[in-house]
Amino acid sequence: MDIERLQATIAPRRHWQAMDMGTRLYQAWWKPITVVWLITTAPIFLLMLLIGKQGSLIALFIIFWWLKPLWERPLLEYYSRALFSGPLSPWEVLKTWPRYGFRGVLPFLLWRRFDPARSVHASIAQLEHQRGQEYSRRRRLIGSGQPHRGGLLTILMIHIEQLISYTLFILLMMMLPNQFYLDDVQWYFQTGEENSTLAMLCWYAAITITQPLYVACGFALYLNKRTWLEGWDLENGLKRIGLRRRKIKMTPAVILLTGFLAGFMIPEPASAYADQESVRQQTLDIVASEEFMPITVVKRWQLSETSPDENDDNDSSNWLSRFLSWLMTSNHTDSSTPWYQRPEDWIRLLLWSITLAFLGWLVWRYRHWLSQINFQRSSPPTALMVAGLDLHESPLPDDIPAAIREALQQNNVRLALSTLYRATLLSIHQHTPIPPGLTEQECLHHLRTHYQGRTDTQASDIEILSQLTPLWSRHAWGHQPIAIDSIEQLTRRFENELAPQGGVSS
Amino acid sequence: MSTPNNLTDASALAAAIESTMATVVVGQQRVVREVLITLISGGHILLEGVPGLGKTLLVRTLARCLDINFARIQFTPDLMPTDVTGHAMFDQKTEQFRIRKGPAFTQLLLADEINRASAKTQSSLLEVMQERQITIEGKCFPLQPPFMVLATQNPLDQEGTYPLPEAELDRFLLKSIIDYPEIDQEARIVRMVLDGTISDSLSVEGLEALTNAEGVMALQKLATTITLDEEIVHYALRIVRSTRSLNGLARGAGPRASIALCTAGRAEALLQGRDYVIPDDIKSVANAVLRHRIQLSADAEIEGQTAESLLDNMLNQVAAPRQ
Repeated sequence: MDIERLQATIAPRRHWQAMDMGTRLYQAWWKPITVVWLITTAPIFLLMLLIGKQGSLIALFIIFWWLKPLWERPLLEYYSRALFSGPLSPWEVLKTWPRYGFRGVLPFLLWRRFDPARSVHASIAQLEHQRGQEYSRRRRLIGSGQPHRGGLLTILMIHIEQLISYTLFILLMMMLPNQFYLDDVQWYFQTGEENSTLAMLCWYAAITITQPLYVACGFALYLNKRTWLEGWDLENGLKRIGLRRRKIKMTPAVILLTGFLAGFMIPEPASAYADQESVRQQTLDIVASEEFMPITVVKRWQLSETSPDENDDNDSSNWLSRFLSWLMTSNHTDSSTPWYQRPEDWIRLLLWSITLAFLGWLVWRYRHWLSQINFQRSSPPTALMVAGLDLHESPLPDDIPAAIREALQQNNVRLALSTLYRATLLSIHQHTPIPPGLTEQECLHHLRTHYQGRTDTQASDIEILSQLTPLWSRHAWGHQPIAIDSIEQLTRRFENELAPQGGVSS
Repeated sequence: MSTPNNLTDASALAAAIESTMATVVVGQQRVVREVLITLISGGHILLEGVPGLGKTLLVRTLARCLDINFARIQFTPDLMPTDVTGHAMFDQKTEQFRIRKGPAFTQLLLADEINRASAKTQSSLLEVMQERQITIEGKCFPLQPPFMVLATQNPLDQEGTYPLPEAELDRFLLKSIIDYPEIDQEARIVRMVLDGTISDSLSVEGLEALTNAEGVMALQKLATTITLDEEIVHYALRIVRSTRSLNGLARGAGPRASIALCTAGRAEALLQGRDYVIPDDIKSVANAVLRHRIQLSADAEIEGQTAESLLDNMLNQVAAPRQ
């Protein structure tokens, strides 16, 4: 193997990467490799089908399957020669069939037939011509590290092969007319009938795809292992370096001439400092040179961070701002000329008229939509709705106790109780906000929770509210009479205990 | 067995039924309360909860306390409307058609797992629930009052279930959610079942009937005399109308919800021992009245919101009456 003539980049890879390389090999040469496969197997397969129709087809199928290592030999030969010496025609491979076709194949048809890593180990026998103990030693070496990758490849390929085979078979069945329809599973496994022939054709079509791929992946695993073991990539790299050095090899005459010229042309060092300076400059030049540090130009978008001073006045991106500036300001210096004699002012007037007309049209066009927008700012709950009280619709009187007493004199108990209840809530709300959705009982619960553990004067609020709430509920919602004395008593307490705390203001 | 003559007697009887039921149906006080609200309001209730929380026991206990006719229908996918209401069959002896009445001819009807039957069978209850009569072969048969449907449905099973049609959902006065009991209540249930019984469920045999059909009808009649102020009615209307413009709802509640809210509020007041309705009564039943009458928008469902949480938020925003 001449690794200098490799058609692929050789490098130590992981196993899955190596199998990927095998797939790429198949992709590169799938046409000639399929021709090789068909030439070597198709006639035999068709002959077996013909013979099998008069005998046992399944037995012939097993024989063909058993001979797979034999069919793989031309494929491996093609891959190895194409990889190390470039693409070649299928005939070149087939012409040399007697040379590699049967040498050392017997063990692979007997005791090594069920070797799970057959695709990897076939290269040892076929390409390295190893036999006996030597083969076993090489197989152990190639299989060292992670030895099961070849087996995993085999299992994977078996599944792919079966999948393609069944898929093709089912596809053909779907296209059959109804009168030929049979139970698919039974049909596939039934032997000795036409359907078996169809199943075998599907299987052959599947292995036409999978078998070259299987050989290619196994071969790539084998190459990868050898690269790891023998450092093919290093060898190639060193050879490239050597080649480059050979190109610049100087002859002794050139060396003498160079030395002679150098003796005349190199100036004397001016001083130690100057020498250091020149060395430093040379170093900087070398570092800055493209050979030492190649410059890669990368273009990408980013936000402009240039300051307004750096902007070019002629920059086309500023046309809008300059236009607006011109439209907004009239900076002419000749004040003696009236505005209507200046064309630019006419243009300015025209543009303003168009703008205003457009805005007017927009307002008229969307007048229905605009009418639905509430331009008034929504007032905070504490301004209009206080503890569920709408103070705009029904404001509290300025002198609450007087208003309550007046309502009682007029025998309007509900108004008196409502005023007292609302004033009490409002008074409490000034230091303890009450959500609007709370009912009477929830207000009490809310305040009790809030005042829990407190003994200050604010606790008197809840006491008044606790006494007032049942009276209010019974009269307002139950329409039941309430003793006037109890209302007057609560009004006095409100007057003495709540009003002085800051009063009630609506 | 007693028949109440005034609101005080009615409240006492309702409280007695509630406490009796609570001794058997442990840990479901709110559900028991909502069943009684429905009974007093003369409506029907939809009970939703996972299996094993005592839905059937609740209905059996109620029937035992009231001493009224009780029937149960297990709704299945192959149940036919005639299996519920009845049908006319040809009697070969008399050579005439004879009406064979279905299990709906009762006073307390348990429609177990109602959403397992098809919409056709579910719709057979529409006339029964609204008109309280059953039409067979063109002939109307009025049901014996009081009539109440207690339907149960399982929220977990989605396969093989048929959501109730909106028209039928609207006919349920309340939808009650039965949740898991607290640990001490569950311990009490286990102790009650295991002590001296060989069954795995509680027995209602020991309960005495507290009233009869006449007593229930008297309760319902007295509940209608409970004072309902105009402001309270407006409060109920504000709540229902708020659902129609609430963000997160594709469909709000209809006028039947307003009626149900006021009716249930009255029953709640009766159970509280009051002869008038206060805003708290309305608010306390609002969620149960509205949760099955609204439809969440797709956005709200995607955001994981529930009808209950949306309604709770809404109820905290609707201003309570203050004057």
